[in-house]
Amino acid sequence: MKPNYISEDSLARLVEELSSKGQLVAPVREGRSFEFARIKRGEQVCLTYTTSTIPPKSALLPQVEELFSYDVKSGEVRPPEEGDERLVLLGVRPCDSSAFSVLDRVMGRDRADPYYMRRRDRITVVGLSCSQPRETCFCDAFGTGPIDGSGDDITFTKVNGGYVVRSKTAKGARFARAHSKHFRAATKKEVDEFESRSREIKAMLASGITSEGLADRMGKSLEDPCWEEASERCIECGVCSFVCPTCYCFDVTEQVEGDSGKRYRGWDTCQSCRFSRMAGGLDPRPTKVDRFKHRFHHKLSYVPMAFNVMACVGCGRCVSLCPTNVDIREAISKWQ
Amino acid sequence: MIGYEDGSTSHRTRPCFVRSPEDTTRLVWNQYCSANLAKYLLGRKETVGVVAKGCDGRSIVELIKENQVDRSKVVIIAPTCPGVVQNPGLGGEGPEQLASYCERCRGRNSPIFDFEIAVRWDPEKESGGVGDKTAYHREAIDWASEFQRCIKCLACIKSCPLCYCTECELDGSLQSLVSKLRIPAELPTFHLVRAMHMAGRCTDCGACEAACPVGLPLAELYSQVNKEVERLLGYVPGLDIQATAPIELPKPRGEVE
Repeated sequence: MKPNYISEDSLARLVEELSSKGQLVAPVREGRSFEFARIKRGEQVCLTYTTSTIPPKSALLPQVEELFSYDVKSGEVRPPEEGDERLVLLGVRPCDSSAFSVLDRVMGRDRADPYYMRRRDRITVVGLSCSQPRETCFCDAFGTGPIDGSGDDITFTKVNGGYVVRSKTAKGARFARAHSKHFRAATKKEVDEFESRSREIKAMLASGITSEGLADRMGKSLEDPCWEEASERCIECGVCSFVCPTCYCFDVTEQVEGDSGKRYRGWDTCQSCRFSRMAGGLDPRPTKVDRFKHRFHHKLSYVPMAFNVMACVGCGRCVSLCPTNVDIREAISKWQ
Repeated sequence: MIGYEDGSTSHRTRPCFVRSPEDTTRLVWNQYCSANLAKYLLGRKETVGVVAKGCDGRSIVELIKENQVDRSKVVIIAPTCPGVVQNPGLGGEGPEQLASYCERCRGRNSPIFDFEIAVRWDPEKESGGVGDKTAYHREAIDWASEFQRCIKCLACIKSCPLCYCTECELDGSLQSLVSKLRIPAELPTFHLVRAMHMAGRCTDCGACEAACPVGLPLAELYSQVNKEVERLLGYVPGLDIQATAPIELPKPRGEVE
């Protein structure tokens, strides 16, 4: 498909159009950082952001969601109230978009998670190529950026005065058609600029790490004494998994008031000492080092072996937000 | 010995565990040393050396008073703190700022030490308002909207050296007061219970604030509570190892209004 072009002005009108229907989720400034939020006014959208603190996966896996409600006396069970509105997720960076592909494999395969799938089907992912990788970025190690994300339905790449737009999926093409008045075919000059910028940005990412053969070697490292030392400064706060775009583990809880109850699920972290503790007190990961290495093995060995995809996309959130500077890149370099 | 070394990215340090004299060359001391290393003293049986900023030393004082740290098994190395930068991990735009909790610092050197190292910081770089006890921003913070942003990851609890309970009422697993799966956090339960548990104990080290991924001004909240403790009971956590902690007082020494 030939690339399209959207000017800054046309994009502002498109944003206005989508937000007036309440269908737009995009990055907004939140203090010193950025978060994805439902857009009420077009001018809130900030597409010059680098990365959000909380990944946009929360549009697919909300931090807390109701699974069903029930009546304690009659035992009647009701599904949660849900909208069927379509959502446009605008400005998703390639790493975060690629993380959707990881979640798709885990939550959307043979045993599709209905809550996840319902949201997934309603969402159109409008990817946004990186223009300014951060020091903590390493998507080059996994091929999850910096221009295209594997979860993109349609990808925007900044060029002079606007964006080069490429549809990737049928959903993306539908999106482009539905808003065709804002797009036009990209000129040769714009396509050339897109290509030269893409090369420049790719060259900016030189993490020097690679995921090749990692899953296998990582899998064999379980007994290695290096984990003991590596985990020493970890304080088990779990920030790494809360800000991770591919972490999907959850906990389930009940809330009962009077005769009506609700069952919820919400993000949980394998770094918590309670996460793997079972009824009766048995805990397969009783120590800090067990939990610490589990996180790396899960991302870089177990998920790749089970689903044929690396569960790290190199977004660097865990690297920059870890209070004690535990850096997953060091584990990767050691075992690559 | 526990100290700081350069982190994996610029403008960061991280805790480092030195086990041989040669490894001491890894140690650094600068405005990025924001973690509170007193956390690593908890549950440690062997004698250990620790680098402590003023506030970290005050945390150790409180931990000694609460029988969590044995003074005879800790060798405290106390260099003068330059004041740390606000949320080094959060990045963001604009120049680095002195952490807001450093603006109301109660002393850059640890009140207790085995080795004190007087560091003369370049006045140009030196943090401006250190020691300004009036540096509270009560009016400027809209707490209700700040708490809305809480994702209840519990990093504030996990990073706090004074949080050493093995069963925490606030982590939601006991299903009694606070549910882990209620976002935004129950108001006022989650944050206010934590604030009350910090009363008379928090040394305003800012470890919680530095760890918070969404950048909540948590140290500010606890400092408000401690301002009341100081006003009512005349007690400032960590300043004086001889002073009786409020939790041990048979009755308040001050007049309770």
